[in-house]
Amino acid sequence: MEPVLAGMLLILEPYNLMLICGGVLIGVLVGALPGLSSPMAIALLMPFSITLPPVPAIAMMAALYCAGTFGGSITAILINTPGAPPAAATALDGYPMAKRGEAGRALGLAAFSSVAGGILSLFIFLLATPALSKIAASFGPQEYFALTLFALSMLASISGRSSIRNLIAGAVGVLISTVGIHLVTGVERFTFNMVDLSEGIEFVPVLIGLFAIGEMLTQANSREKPAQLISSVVGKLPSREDLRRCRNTILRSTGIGTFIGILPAEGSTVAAIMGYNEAKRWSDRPEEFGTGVPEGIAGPEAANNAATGGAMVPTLALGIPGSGSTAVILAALIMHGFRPGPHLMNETPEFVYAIFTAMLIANFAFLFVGLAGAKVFAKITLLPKAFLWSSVLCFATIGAYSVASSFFDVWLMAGAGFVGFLMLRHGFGPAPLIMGLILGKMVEESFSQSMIVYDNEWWRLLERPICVGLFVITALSLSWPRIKRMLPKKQKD
Amino acid sequence: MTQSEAAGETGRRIIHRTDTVVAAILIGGALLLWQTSNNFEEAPALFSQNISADMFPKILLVCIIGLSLILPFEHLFLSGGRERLDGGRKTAVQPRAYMAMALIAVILAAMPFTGTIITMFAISLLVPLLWGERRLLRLLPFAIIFPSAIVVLFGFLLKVHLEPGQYGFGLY
Repeated sequence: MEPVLAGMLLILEPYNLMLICGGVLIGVLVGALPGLSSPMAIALLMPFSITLPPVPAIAMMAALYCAGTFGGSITAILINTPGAPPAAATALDGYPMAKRGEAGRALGLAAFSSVAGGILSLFIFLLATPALSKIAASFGPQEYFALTLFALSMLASISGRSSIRNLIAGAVGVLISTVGIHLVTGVERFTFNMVDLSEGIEFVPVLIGLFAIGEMLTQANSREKPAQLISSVVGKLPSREDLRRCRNTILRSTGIGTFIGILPAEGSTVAAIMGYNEAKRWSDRPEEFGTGVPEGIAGPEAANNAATGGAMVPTLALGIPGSGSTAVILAALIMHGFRPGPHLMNETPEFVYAIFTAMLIANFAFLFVGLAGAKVFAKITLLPKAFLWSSVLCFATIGAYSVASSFFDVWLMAGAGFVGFLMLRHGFGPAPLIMGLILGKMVEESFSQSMIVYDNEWWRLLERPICVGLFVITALSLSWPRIKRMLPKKQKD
Repeated sequence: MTQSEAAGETGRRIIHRTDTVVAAILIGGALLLWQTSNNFEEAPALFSQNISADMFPKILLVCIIGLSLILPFEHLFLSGGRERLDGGRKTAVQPRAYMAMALIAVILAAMPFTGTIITMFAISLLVPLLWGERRLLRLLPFAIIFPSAIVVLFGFLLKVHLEPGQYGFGLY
């Protein structure tokens, strides 16, 4: 109990609360702005956070992550343009409800369901993180290798155009992490005699480049669609009738969202789609979905926000990110000198509880922000892209530069951005590459240690039951997209 | 349709042309890196502990090559097929995207000469212009106020050293 209280007290300092509120405001804004995303905002925030103490820095990012997931629903409801992919399912019923003149009701339902999903999942986070850390503490390098392999295999089922492309992007990410001096042998790899590469590739400029510059170029390549804002917007809390109607949907979606969030590499988007589908499947009137029913908003919103709490569990307990945003938070944790994984829970448990408290506060804060400020945020989303993207480029440039005061990092960011644009165009998402880049060191380290222990006899990994179990799950997750396609066919037959 | 034309049509249907190019680039890059990894220095046996520096990257390169070989045929077994894969590349890259890339490359390449502060001002002025913003009453205040705010935030509050560059200026 003592670490829980210590963690809460850490966060309840006025300075930290102010930063959390700042994170919530930025998160809702970024979530609401189509094109900008939470991982991008967290990546842009990372260089700023170097100057902050670690607790408020990570708390601010965690708050931004929670609020960013909700922020997307504002534009999904008001202009039928999801600010972020997880809000795509919300638009299906949110926009028709807003068009009927019930924008306030839709926003209120979205905010309330998000908060309910977020808070319930945080309590699961509170219980699951120490338990998972305890299990992970007994892991040797062999189990860690099997676990990271499993996490990478989950990239196959992450949302995107194709699982093969996700896996290639993940492998490229891991390959990039091998640049620099090899820790075991001291040999320089893929440095091409460049001094800047001898210590490896900094992940902050790569993150910024892939998420910010890549998206900027993608936006430059698309024509801007004029958005029509629904004018009468006053967010209001859901009525008793709406709450009664959505109660079970929210609880079900919270469970789904938390579970999906805990799975490595799965994120809020998958959770939201599943939340919507399940809400429709369990509904007495599934034919009304798409016309503006409250369950169609509550389902995806509770699920996508519950996924945020869930995604923090493997991130903190195992050091394996649960989503694109948590991959960036993981990078920030490493940058601030933390050792994500069981050590984090053993050495600094109060820090884990501080993040929990920050996310809890963020959830309440965005309920207020979402209801009171919806009109303002909706108007900001109509900001001309010309100014929006030049601001992003300014922040990206100065952010990449300020990590190590190096021009090389700025060029690295630009290069990553160009590659990111081409990747997006050809269906390779940036999130798998980032996950590969961040997990890369861990994969290689655990692989090398295992090979040293077993004298290069890799098949001896199969002597460890946990490894075997994880390898089986890995094989299943890799073949899951194929199995999934075969299932409905069998039913039809 | 002649026999050779029919065969060509069948080939086009089986092999996705753009993805073949993507796969070729990936495989070419992977082979180049494979060659590079063959030239890694040899570590002394005392340090290496039976692990060679090129083993792990080579495993990854094999994975990348293996997966890339599937790319040209992926549309055959992916639900949604070509439509799904070609969603993001249906239209050609717009001139504005090329111009944005060129602008970013030029501004950032000039950064060691112009310094960080001038770079911020240049970005704030040139990117909106590239995006088609022509209203000077909006553009000029933005191009002055926004980078100034960034300089204040990073330079004065966060104490980031803003490199003056060879011909630019710094804060201190």
